[in-house]
Amino acid sequence: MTGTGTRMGSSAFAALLTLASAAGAAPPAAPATAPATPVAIVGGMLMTITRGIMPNGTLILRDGKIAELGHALAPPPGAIVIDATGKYVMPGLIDTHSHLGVYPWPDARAHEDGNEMTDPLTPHVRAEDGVFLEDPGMARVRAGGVTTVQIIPGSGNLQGGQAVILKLGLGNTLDDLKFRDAPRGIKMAFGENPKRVYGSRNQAPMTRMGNAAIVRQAFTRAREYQKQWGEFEANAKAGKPTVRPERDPKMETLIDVLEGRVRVHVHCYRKDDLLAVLRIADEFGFKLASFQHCLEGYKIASELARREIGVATWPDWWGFKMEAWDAIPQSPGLLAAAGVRVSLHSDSANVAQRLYHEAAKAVRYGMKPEAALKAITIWPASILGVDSRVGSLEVGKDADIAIFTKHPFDVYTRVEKTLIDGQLVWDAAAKEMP
Amino acid sequence: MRASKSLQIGLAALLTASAFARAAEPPASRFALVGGKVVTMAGRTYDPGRVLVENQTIVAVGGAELDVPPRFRTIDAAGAWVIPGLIDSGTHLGLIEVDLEDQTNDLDDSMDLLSPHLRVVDAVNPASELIRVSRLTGVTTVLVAPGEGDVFSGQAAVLDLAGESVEEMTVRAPAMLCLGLGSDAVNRGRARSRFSTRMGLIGEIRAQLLKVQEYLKKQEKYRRKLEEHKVELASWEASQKPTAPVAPTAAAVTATQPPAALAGKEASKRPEPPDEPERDLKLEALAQVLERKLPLLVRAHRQDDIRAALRLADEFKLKLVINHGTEAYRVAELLAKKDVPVIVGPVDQQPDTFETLGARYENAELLRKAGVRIAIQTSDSHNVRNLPYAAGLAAAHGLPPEEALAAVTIEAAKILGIADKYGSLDKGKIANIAVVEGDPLQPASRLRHLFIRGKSIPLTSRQTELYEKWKAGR
Repeated sequence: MTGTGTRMGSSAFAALLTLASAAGAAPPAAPATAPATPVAIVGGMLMTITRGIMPNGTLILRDGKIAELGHALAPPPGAIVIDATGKYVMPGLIDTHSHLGVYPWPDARAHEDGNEMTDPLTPHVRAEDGVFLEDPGMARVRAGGVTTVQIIPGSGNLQGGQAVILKLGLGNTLDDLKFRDAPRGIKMAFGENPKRVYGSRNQAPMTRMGNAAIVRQAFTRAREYQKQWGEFEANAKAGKPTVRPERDPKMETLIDVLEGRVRVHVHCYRKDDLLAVLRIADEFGFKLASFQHCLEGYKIASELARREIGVATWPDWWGFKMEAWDAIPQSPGLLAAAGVRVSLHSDSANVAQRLYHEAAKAVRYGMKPEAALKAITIWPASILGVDSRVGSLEVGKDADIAIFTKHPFDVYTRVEKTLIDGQLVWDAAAKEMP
Repeated sequence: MRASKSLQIGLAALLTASAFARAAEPPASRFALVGGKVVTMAGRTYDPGRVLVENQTIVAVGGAELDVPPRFRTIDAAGAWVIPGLIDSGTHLGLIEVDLEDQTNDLDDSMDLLSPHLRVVDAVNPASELIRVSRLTGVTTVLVAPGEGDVFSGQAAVLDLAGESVEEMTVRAPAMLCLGLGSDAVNRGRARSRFSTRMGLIGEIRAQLLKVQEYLKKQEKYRRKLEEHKVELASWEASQKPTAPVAPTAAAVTATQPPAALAGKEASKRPEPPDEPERDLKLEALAQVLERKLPLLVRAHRQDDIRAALRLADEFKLKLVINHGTEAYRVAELLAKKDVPVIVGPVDQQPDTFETLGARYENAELLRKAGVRIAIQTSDSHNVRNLPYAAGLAAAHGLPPEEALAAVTIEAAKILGIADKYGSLDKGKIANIAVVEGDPLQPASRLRHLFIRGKSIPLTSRQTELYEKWKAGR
């Protein structure tokens, strides 16, 4: 599933599109931060997520990867040994809905860079161009055991722009932090927000009809644009006289969506909005990676399962607007039981510090504990298309680890250490909460 | 059609039932919670313990040896914690239903910066769906406060989360008068061109409190004059009575009345009552805090805002409670010395605004250690249900667990002024009781039973109803 962002097409057109979407460009291959010395995490309760729980397990990390995993293995000579006796060792947590850096702390008008609300269609803008790397929220979230976040634009626009997936390591530049070879993602939004933002200015969209019409129009135009370029290239190849069409980065992004080169994440709450998005996706033939928030997802759980669309949601946010009125805390449990991959997301640097307690809350309202653990690890990884790299403790996966003092659902638990690519990025013993 | 018919039948049945209830004195409701870990919050834990309730009152609390008379219905609490109903010392319950829909939002009047005369009881919707949702983690009693943007924003009330009317729900109203310090209040002042700095804000507050002092003086003067007037009137009325036909002796005349009065011209004019000063409900509302009848609940995050509140309290001899107190840990010793309690929360307050840059999870514990009395609030509406989790988070960051529980039970009751009847499982107290399957501070612990004023509360909400409707899948 990974690597689609850098796949080079053979035609000039595909190359052009790839160049246009530098979001997927690969940074230097070898992680500069991976320590040469192996690390052994010994004695802990390994919550592998995909292969059950292993008491007194050992993890051996080498070159930024999980090199070995087993019961009471001997640490290799010269290894840095982390004693996790009595502790719970989890894969680093993953948040599919973060605004870190694009809405950094403290709130300041000068730093609001998450919502390009000048046009309901801004698929071409990229979150990575707005990420403020000094956002102190990043350190706090890292201290909450989160290692991978998808930073997405806000929901003021129908097509808000492109996501960037970061690892919350200690790097100094965006390239240091970018999740290498992660697929591209785009944020779209439906329902109240776009129609409120533009409707209140007496602009379109003002209604849900308007939401749908504008999106359909955009994809229709994208198909036409694609056709124009196709004709141009065919003519040029055949040596026929032809006029080069003007390039349009918005249309190029939408073609990437239509061609399945970008994972689509749609902010959407109400059942009928969810169904409207599915109609449009069917009409234009693209797939959805996830619905974000999706508070009424439980009403169409089997449909979401059938289509293999992930759901990123909260256990207990509700009622802040009409489309959040039917939210129920049992929804994550119902969705998981129906076979939907659920991501318990944050949408906030506050919640992101305690995703494990979000999982505990979901358990309170009926979600199975194993499912709740998946909902902060492997399922979000799968929704982002990075599950071959992160989201579980397995040999060969990235050494992204969170060590908890108690079971992650326990209110008294604390994240003692966070490692990313084998490097220690948070150590509660070393310093106070950032 | 069918729905409306069954609704009519239902209503008729309800009316008949309530008519019945009025006609005959209902039989006393008596029950005993038996077998749970009874954490009284009054110094004792009985494990297993028993709590006996008659009507709305706790009549006995004890261990397994406590006799349960046969007229008490037994409710099994084995394996569960039996704790006082939780008290959230900072909510907006009943004032707001859907944030973005104005027609459901009575949170923040904000038409005038100075609205101390507003009372939340005039806006609380007892049918709010949020109330049912809030109860499902054991919350029984809340402080409802108006929004915090204005300087003086109104009078908060303590309510139980059950009842058909706000009168029925009321535990104490008014409970506190709310004042906002810091950025939000300054922003409101700026929007109205009244003031635009913290200096201006505090200046405005002092000006108002001085006005109240003047008002009180005027009222006092008026009362004094009224008393004098009563005396004058009485003597005038006496002087108007027809004089006895006995001629006064010369000696008596000399002793009691000047010769001029004998002429009778001045004395015959009826004394005028003093002019009543114009009444001002805003100033009268504020007078309650100057007369120390109500505590002033001051929203303050930054430590300098807290110190400003303390200065005001010194100057005007106010009873003070700090709301939020994000940086209160930096003023802990002073708060302890002056015995000013802090309603901490939200516990997960983040350094996400300029005025909360000093936010720390350890705030509650640092305050307790310094000897400051604390309660914990959610400062929420829709997620008041996360109150036990808020207490749990404080406990996870150092606050001893029993102190965390106290901050949402007995300590909260003390700060809200209701500890005579609330906050602990004690003989004579109101029977607000939560039965929780496991440690109530754990986010995964579920509620088994809830009682408010001795009545069993159905553990349902619109959300559980939606769940029941959709759980079978579609």
